[in-house]
Amino acid sequence: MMDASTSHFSVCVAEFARQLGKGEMCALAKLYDFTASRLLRYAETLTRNREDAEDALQAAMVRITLRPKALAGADHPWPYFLKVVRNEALKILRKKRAACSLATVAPIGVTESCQLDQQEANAQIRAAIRELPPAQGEVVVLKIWEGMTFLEIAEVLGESPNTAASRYRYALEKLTHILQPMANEVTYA
Amino acid sequence: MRDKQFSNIEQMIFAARDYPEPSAALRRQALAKSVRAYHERAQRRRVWVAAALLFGVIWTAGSAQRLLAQPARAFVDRQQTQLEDNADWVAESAGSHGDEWGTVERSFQSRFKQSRILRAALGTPSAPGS
Repeated sequence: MMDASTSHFSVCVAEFARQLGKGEMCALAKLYDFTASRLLRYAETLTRNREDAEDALQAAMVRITLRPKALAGADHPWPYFLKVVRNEALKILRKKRAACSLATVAPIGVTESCQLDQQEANAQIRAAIRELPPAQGEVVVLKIWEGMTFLEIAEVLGESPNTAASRYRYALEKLTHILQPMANEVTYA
Repeated sequence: MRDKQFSNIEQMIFAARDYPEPSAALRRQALAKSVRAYHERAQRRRVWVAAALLFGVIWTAGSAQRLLAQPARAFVDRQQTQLEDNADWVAESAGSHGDEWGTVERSFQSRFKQSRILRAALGTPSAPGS
């Protein structure tokens, strides 16, 4: 699901990172404006909480500002940036709950599906993604919404591509189960 | 069928992607925090560089002082060694000469004594050197 816009996005992030690496501080605002909403969305998948996601985003921005050359020198700056956000989000989770891991974060309760318009359907899907264990939810976000390959996802997660792929497979199985009624409506409408 | 379902689910998820708009306050705060952290680090770096330079200057000055002091100290050491050598030589010489003189003196006195005994025995009134 990697399309031209995703590729363009990565190229732009790399360009801002390069400018930041050269000490051009104005690139920081550009980088923030360009990536903040996606980073926030990804962080929220991990933290399940908007405030924590915002804190993670802020901390990641500070980290990137302090080590701009690490981002500029990364083979894939966008996955690297996501990884920084992930680390900060996990740090916040760890602070909040001692010995907390992604696997132990409780999923949010299932909501009842009903007659939905498109907006509600989308909200339902996003809620279904939040119902997943965060370790699986983040793979779905990275794979489908960020259009990353399993190799890039593995780089972000610090796991093997096979692990990322299997988490994705499990996640889709669960999502299929949760969203089955809605999927039937869409398929056969 | 399974793949088709997965594909359908994937498309649904893709269509449901959202772009949460970060608040202006978050933007302001994040950028301000980042810039402040950047400047603080730059300040810390300047302090470290200044401290390192100061240490370097002090160390260089100390080394230079040691290097400059080295020939003078070596000269003094050489002089002292020479003096000590001379003193030893003088002492040794004095000792050896003293012994010689002592031997000569003892020999002289012994002979002088013998000569007096001889003179007394022979009845010669003349004193030596007269």
